[in-house]
Amino acid sequence: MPPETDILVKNLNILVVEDNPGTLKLIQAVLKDMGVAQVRTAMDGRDAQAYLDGGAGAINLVICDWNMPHMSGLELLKQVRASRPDLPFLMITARGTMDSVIAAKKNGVSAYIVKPFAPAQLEEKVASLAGRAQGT
Amino acid sequence: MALLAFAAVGAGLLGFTAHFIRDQVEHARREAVEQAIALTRRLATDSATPLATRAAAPLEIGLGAIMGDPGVRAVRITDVRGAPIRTIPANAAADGRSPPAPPGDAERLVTVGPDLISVWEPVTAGTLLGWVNLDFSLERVAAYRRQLWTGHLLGGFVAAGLTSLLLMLFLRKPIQAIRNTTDFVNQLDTRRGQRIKPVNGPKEIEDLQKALNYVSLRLEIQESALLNAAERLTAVVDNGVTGIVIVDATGVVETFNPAAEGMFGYRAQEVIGRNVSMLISEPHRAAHHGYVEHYVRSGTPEVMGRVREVQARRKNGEVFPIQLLLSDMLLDGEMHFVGFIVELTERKAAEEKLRQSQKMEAVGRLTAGVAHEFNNLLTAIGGFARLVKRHADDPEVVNEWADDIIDASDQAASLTRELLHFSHREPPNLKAVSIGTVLEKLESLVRPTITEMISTRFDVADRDAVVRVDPERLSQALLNLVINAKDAMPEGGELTIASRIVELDANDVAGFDKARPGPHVAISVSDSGTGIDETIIKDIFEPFFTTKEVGRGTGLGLAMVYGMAQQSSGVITVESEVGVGTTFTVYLPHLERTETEAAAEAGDTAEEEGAPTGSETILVVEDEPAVRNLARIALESLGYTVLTAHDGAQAQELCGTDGGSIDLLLADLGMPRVGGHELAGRLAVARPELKVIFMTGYNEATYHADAGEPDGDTILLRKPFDPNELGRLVRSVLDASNPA
Repeated sequence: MPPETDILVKNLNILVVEDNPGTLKLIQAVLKDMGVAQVRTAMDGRDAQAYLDGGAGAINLVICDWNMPHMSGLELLKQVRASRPDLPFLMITARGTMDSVIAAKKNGVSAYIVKPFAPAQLEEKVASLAGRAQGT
Repeated sequence: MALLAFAAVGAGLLGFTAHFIRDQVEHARREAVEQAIALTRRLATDSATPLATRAAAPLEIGLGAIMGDPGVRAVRITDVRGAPIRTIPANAAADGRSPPAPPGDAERLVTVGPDLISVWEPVTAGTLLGWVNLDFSLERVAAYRRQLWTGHLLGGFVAAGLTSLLLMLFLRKPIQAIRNTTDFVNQLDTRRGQRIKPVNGPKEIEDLQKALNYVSLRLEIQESALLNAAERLTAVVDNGVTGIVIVDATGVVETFNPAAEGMFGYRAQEVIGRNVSMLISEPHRAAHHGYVEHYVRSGTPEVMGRVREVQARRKNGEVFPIQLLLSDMLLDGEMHFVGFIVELTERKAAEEKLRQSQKMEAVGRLTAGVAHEFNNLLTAIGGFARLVKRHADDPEVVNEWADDIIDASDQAASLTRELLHFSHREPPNLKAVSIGTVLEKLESLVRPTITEMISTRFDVADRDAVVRVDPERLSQALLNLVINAKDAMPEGGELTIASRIVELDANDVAGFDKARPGPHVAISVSDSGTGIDETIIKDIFEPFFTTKEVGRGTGLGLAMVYGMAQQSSGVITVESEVGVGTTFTVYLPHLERTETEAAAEAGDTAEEEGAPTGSETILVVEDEPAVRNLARIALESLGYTVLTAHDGAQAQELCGTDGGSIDLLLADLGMPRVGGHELAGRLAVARPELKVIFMTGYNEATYHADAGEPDGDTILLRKPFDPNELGRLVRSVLDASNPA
């Protein structure tokens, strides 16, 4: 990782939305390993939205699972886009179909990872979104 | 009629005339008798002197005068003894008859015969001088009677004829009217609705005709109504899509409508008059006949009015499903049966199609759910393994992440077991465990997954109560209930997990095959969430039933809980109220805790710590490299010498060169070409004492089917297994093989 990216990554303030404890823990471990200092977690879309609505302006990247109870990742993406059109949004999903990619793209997803994924894939996506995140 | 009137009048006249004539003739007869007496007496008076004087001339004068009377037939003057002195006419004396004798006394004697009156009159002059005897003819009376009869009968008949004629004149019209009316009544069957033209005549006949006209009209209306009803029924029977077959009490077909013709392929005339059994396929034929016979005999309506599914038979022999409704009817005291028939072929096909598509949908849902679960677990396993590799020099994180990998692979193993359980390939692993242990483990699993909005309470009474269950399945079942409870409370709420000992009676265990009344440990999971709608509560234990979106649930969760309760001879109940919350309670039979079981449980716990070591040589034969390597590494780490082979052939080669040093064979049962069982058999020829452990991904039932009957010593290790489990099993088998 180039030094400038390294700094950008360290400054990230990430909200991870994932209902599966194992995957959540892996994402946390990968982010910690990358040096991200601030990671918040939510177990579903509603929790996440409640957190974002509660004046969590400092969040500059959302990593979100697609399939969650109560409010799906896609729903959360739509809600986020309504208030924060530029907030980088990384969708993680088991749906690798063209339709789901199109649906996510249409609603303004910033990047997309299909499960199961290797830590390096996540690191790569997070690093590439880190630059954009600084602008928000 | 005229003849009758005439005869009646004639008979009346005849009776009257006969009576009248008899009176007249009697009167004439009496006059004739008096005249005969008067004539005789006068002659007797006139004859007294001549007899006393014996002078003949005066006698002649008197006799001559009397003979002038036309009625006098004969006259005799006799002496006192009756000897004739003079007879007129003379031939009366010579007719050969002896002269009649005079009466004994000197008194008059009159005898009246049918044709003749005979009078004896004494001739006296102080003394009896002789007799006068007169025969007086009744011819005149007879003539008079004839005359009377002739005259009166003629008059009578004329009068009768006239009377009859008159009667006929008066009665002709009424009689004609009656005759017409009679004809009308006789022909009413064909002339209903017509009117008879009333005649002017006796009022009674007119009234009768009016009444008949009314009856005729009523008949026409009623018959027309009956015809209409019959036509309507015929239209229904002939044009309906339901097959209608009417049979008599013996099953002989009487009616076979066009819809039935279409279904069975027979023309009505081919079926009518034959027994209905020709339309039914065995085995329903005998049963159907039995039902109807039984009904006719006993009147018990076993099949009447009830819709049944029956296999029917077409003319071409094809058997097809029908829905049959039988009803009975009594016609003229005879029992008949009406069968209403709906063909089910298309419906069955549609149902089968629906079932197939539902099955496919369920498989799709299950696949999506399982794929989602596996992707999460694979992400964790693969991801943490890569992190471990990257940070191999940091024992602390390596250890933690290795635990995460183990957790994820355990979950994957449990998921595959769950799937195998639903395909009935995995038997439960029942053990006696205390409820406290189970719930402590559950608490550690549940706590991290519950959000802050949900307050969780564990209320565990009788912590030491023992139940016999598959602990892993019980944990999984309770976890499923907790996850559902959590999902039912998106806005937060209260989650309560409680246990207590309760007594179940026969009612409580009804519907659960293996459950028996008695003490049970009740474990309940309650939420204050959305509740379950009444309409779906009956379905919630069905496999693949889910209210969650695709990918959110496999639809196996509650079905798994239900199956777990059944397997453990337990009961499961659900109480729910929309908007208030839901409580699921699992009741498991409460075991008396025995020393042995307590010790066994303690032993289990102790053994969890690790596995015993050894230095023997073990041959691992497994075609799957990951499993082969795992077994090798696990056994080597415990101190064993391990040889590996990827199939039976390679294993045999190894044994050929180094066979003497192998102490134990660990072989997979399901390998290509030479399976574990066959390999063990071949090696046993040279090494009968060789101990063997088989590995299998299936349960024993499958093994029996796939690989033949294992002998009593067979030891099975089910995949997936953990290294400690393998180590313990290997040690115990080796120890058994080397008796001290």
